[in-house]
Amino acid sequence: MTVLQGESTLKHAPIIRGKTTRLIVTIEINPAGTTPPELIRNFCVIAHIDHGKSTLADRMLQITGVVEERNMRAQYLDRMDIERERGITIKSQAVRLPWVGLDKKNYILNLIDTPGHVDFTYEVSRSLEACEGTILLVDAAQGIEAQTLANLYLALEKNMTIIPVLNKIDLPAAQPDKYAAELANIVGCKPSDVLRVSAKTGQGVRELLDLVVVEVPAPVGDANAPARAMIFDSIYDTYRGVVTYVRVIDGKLTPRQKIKMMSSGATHELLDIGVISPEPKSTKGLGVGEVGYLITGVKDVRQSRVGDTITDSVKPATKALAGFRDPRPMVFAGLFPIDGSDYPLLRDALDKLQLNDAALVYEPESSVALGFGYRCGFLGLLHLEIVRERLDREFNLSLISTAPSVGYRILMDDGQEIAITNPSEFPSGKVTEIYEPVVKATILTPSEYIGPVMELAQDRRGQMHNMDYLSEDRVEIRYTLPLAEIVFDFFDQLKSKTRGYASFDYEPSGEQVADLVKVDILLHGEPVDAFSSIVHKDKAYSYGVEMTSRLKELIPRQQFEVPIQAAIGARIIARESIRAIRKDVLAKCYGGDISRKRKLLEKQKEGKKRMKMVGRVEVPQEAFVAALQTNADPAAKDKK
Amino acid sequence: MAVLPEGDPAPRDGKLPNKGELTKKPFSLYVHVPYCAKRCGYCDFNTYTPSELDREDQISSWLDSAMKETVLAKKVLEDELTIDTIFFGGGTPSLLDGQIVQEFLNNLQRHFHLKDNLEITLEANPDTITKEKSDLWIKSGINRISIGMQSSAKNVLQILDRTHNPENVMNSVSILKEAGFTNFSLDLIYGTPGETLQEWKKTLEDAILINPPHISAYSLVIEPGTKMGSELNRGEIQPVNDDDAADKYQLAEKIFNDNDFSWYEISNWSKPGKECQHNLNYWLGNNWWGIGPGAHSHINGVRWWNHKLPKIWRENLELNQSPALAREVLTEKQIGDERVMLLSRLKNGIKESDFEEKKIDNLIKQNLVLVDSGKIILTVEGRLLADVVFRQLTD
Ligand SMILES: Nc1nc2c(ncn2[C@@H]2O[C@H](COP(=O)(O)OP(=O)(O)OP(=O)(O)O)[C@@H](O)[C@H]2O)c(=O)[nH]1
Ligand SMILES: C[S@@+](CC[C@H](N)C(=O)[O-])C[C@H]1O[C@@H](n2cnc3c(N)ncnc32)[C@H](O)[C@@H]1O
Ligand code: SF4
Ligand SMILES: [Mg+2]
Repeated sequence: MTVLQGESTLKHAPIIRGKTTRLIVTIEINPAGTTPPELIRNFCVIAHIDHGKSTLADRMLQITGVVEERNMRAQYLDRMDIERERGITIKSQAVRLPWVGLDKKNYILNLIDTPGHVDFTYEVSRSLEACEGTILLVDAAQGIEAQTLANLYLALEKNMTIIPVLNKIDLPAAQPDKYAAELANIVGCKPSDVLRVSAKTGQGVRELLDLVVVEVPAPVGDANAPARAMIFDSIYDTYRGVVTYVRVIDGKLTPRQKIKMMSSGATHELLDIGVISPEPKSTKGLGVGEVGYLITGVKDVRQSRVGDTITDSVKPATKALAGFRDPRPMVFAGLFPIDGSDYPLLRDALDKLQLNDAALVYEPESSVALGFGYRCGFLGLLHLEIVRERLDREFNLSLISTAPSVGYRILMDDGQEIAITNPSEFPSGKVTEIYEPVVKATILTPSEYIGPVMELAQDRRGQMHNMDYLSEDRVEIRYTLPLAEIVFDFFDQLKSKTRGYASFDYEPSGEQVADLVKVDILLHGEPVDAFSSIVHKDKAYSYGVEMTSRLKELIPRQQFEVPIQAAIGARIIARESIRAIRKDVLAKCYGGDISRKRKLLEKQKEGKKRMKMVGRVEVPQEAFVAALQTNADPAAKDKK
Repeated sequence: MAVLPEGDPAPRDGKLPNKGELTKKPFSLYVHVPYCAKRCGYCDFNTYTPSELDREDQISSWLDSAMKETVLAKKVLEDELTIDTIFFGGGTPSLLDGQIVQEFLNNLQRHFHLKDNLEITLEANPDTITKEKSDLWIKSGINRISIGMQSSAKNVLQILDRTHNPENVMNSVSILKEAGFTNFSLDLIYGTPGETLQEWKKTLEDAILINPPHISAYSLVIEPGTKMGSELNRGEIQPVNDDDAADKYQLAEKIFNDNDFSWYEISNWSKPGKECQHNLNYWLGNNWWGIGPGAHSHINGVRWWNHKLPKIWRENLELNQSPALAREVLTEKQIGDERVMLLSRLKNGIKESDFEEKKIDNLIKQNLVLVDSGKIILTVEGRLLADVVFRQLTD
């Protein structure tokens, strides 16, 4: 076992099992702003996707009495429609819970539920930043999976207290003994130290809360120092404007206080400050170690940047908190409004979304085929898909997104070096070397599928590093893989080759020289920028064949024959052609119903007006959407 | 069934907002007979089988209401009008007894003048033509019969779900000729899924053998909501293939030309002088009144259409109200567009001087039109792409 990289900070107190009957305390014993830090415990729940984090949070909301029985619903903290529909957490959520510890003291627990999908690892690391301890949850029927490890490493890096917990022990398929051993092995504790709970039935959850009080260190800060609070999230709310989530490190924040953003120096007045429990509740302030929200009435979303430090404007702190490493976007795609006049709205919407989604980056882009839009960077395809869906739902924007691409660094013959995130920026001059981003990938699979997994990774130009047995029948295989080879449908393929049993995680790991070419798609001799793609030399042909045949189906016949070609530079590698249309006439007896016929023709004319012209070829908007969609589609399935 | 267009509400009394000068243009009468023994697989016309109608709305009730609408037409139009053509369309007008046609026409003459030797067409299904009917029709003044032959291939008629056999057509033509009809037309449909080019060629040759003065050939449209529409949705039949239909159109054009037929409208060919005057009136933008359920009318820029259901049509007329459902008062632009849409379909063409030279040059370059004596006329290719020509002309 070579997994442990940091020193585990787990030092277990004896775990108290058995029934404890206790009154549910709902009166505010420790109003925010006055809670002594030693009675505060800040912790988050981390796990592989679907292992039950949000469901565990549900039980905690219930047991601590902050959500009444009749208001309870499954995954209470998954508040966004998209989260509820997809059954996954996208945004971390913090809640304040009262809890009477075994020592009969009234504690305040700040719980943060985190997402499990690899695209949202950045959310997890920010959440960890606001906590002193974390629950590492593992599904007792699945065991350790790739994001279990990835999230564990994040916590270990931060040197925080880790409480290993097995969940779903109510499942008939649960193998708690087997997986307790696995978990103990990677965390570095005894199997008997692994708590067993069922987030579904609530079994073991009280004991877990007690353990949190005992295990997680109280926050430490200087109550008398100038205020310092870390912005770990920010959202735009139509009614309340910008809502900022903070964790107070030093000093205190109070209503009406004049605060200052340390990065920009901008000052604001605190109009409202409070905690989430589980709905926003105004309080008299927030003190050392406390987690809550604040509202300044600021409308400009860029004024409240995640990672910034808030201080008092009269008595400012001198040193800002460390802040967050900005997440690096991994995939890029152009987003174009279907209705060109929505372009300014798109800008506004992206600004607002970014506030809540620090990983989203964008800059203006224009495409011959698609008009004006934004080139956006995302953490992965699910992230892209979620952003697009949120833009659609929350801002009513219908968009086309171009085929996703990773970023490349290109060295030219003349010594010039260019970085591109868009295949259409590929230089036309002589290229000496192209660098593509690579990732360190971890694949966990039952050992019987090692063969198929290795085959797949090889096909994707993977380089294997090592393989470890986690237990008798499960292995962890580590690869270096080109990012471009895994962002699209790798996970799907992996799942289908391992009957759903393998899991997969990755992190960026630099770049490598690769034999890449840009494939252009030409319609009637005109390149269509939105369809260009940078692919490995060996895969250029199949990309060309697929794109040309797909477009052949999607583009209506024109009055002339339209060749569709795929080309590398001047060399044509695939070709199809749309034969000229020969018949476009209403040649049925319509008798006297001339109105209907006129209307049909009027409608046809309207339809033609909405077509985009690529040279002389009329391409319906839908053809672009459909041709580009299929490329991004695996993301839809990639979510689990 | 085809839905009616959307329009403005039509007034109860049927009054026109501005009927304009009526006697300056030819005036036609269309008479809709919305009954069929069985609905064909492709048909979305406004027609009903006996089981779809209440007792009081069966074919026997038709004459009464049709005569009432004649009176309404006279009242609305006021003027002493002369009718230039009459067309009994369907549905299956040949289901009407000879006496009924006769009575309708007799009554008509009490309210309108009929032009001397006017063209009076009646649509007939091959399996409904009898000696008795034919004699009565000719006696009552009908002088042109349009026969729904569709195809001479048994399997094609089967896919179309027609009731008649290929032999019926020959027989009914003999009956008609015997009764004294010299002017008649055959309706053909091409492009039926499963129809081979050979079968279509045979249909054309068989039609030529019958030697009618006029032939219409329509490209099959599989309309949603029809039996064939459902078969298409279920994947039981293929959609109409446009290339195949284009080949078949060109074959028809060639065979007709070789046999002294000449096109005068996209789907219509005739021997010299045998063009259907009634249909020409539609395309020339002339005036007509449509009697019957769902029938369309046009009087000087106002178009209206009747309620589709025989029951509502009848009930309105019984209350002395107009059976019109809705109407459309055309704007100048719409009138202009319709003119292009309709005239450009005719061999006679549309005046070159109405359009920018550049547009016409462009169309000529695309081999869609030619210009002859100041008229823009569709080429064979252009006839198949007439909607493209329309869009470019009205762009
Ligand atoms: N039987 C059983 N099912 C559970 C338990 N906990 C969670 N589940 C189910 O597991 C599924 C995933 O639960 P979530 O709470 O959404 O998992 P999550 O870890 O928050 O998932 P992400 O936020 O997407 O990473 C849901 O169908 C839950 O009902 C449990 O203790 N027992
Ligand atoms: C008004 S219809 C009905 C005439 C008559 N009842 C008959 O069917 O023989 C006139 C002609 O339109 C043509 N037609 C009807 N429905 C059609 C369709 N869906 N597609 C193409 N042509 C059609 C047929 O050739 C038909 O004979
Ligand atoms: S006979 Fe003519 S009108 Fe009647 S259903 Fe068949 S095609 Fe339609
Ligand atoms: Mg969750």
